[in-house]
Amino acid sequence: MSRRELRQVASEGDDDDEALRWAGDELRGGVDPLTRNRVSEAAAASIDDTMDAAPAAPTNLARTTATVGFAVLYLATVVGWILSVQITGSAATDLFSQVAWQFGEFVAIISGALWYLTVLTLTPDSRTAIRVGWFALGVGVLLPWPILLVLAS
Amino acid sequence: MSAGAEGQDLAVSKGVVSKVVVWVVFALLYAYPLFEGISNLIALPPYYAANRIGAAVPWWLLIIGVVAPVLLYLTALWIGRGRELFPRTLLLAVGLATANALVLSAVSWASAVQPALS
Repeated sequence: MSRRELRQVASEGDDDDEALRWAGDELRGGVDPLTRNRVSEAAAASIDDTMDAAPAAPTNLARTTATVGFAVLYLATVVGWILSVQITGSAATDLFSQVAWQFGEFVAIISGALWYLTVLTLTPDSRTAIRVGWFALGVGVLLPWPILLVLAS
Repeated sequence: MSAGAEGQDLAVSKGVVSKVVVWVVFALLYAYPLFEGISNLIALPPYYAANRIGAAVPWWLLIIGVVAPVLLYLTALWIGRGRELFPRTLLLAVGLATANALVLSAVSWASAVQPALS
């Protein structure tokens, strides 16, 4: 490419820059698109995006052990309720009561899984003691008494 | 009113509507365990009295059956206040499941502690 051609290309580039400016922008305090883009790019580059939006969840061995240990307990709760609904029954004969009773049995079966999921979802940043407290409360409240009472008798 | 403000109002009212819909739907779902608890509270004492074991009415189980659904619904609403729709719904679902599990537990306990009928 000859020197003349290079000069022509350079002047075309200047024309492009000119085309994106309005006369008097500087006087009105306006910012032309080229300058605005450069400013926004610089601002974007200056943002420190190495930090996560949410603080990292506290991780330690006790917390992980408790979470895994309670997962096993809640799994046992679900199994206990599956066995429990086999031995409970409704004396109702109308369709609505039967459907409602079976819905109640179904949600009782999934109660352990729901409680576990809820504690996991709502305590990501809480202290380990708080998470363990909610887990322990759930295990106590959701004990599958129908099958436990049968086994005890 | 500007278009932006109208859009914001629409988003807010949509949020309120979905919140109220969740409250109402779960209130209806909680109504069944509550209904069971109330019907047990009304029907069991006369049945025990008719069988001459009136002194052995398990009042604590009957009271749990009535109180648990109401208490769990209110607790789920209280813990869920200020949260997004998903955690609110999850809390109400857990409360509903717990209420039903407690009703089944109460029924099995009532059978277990019932004295032999003469």
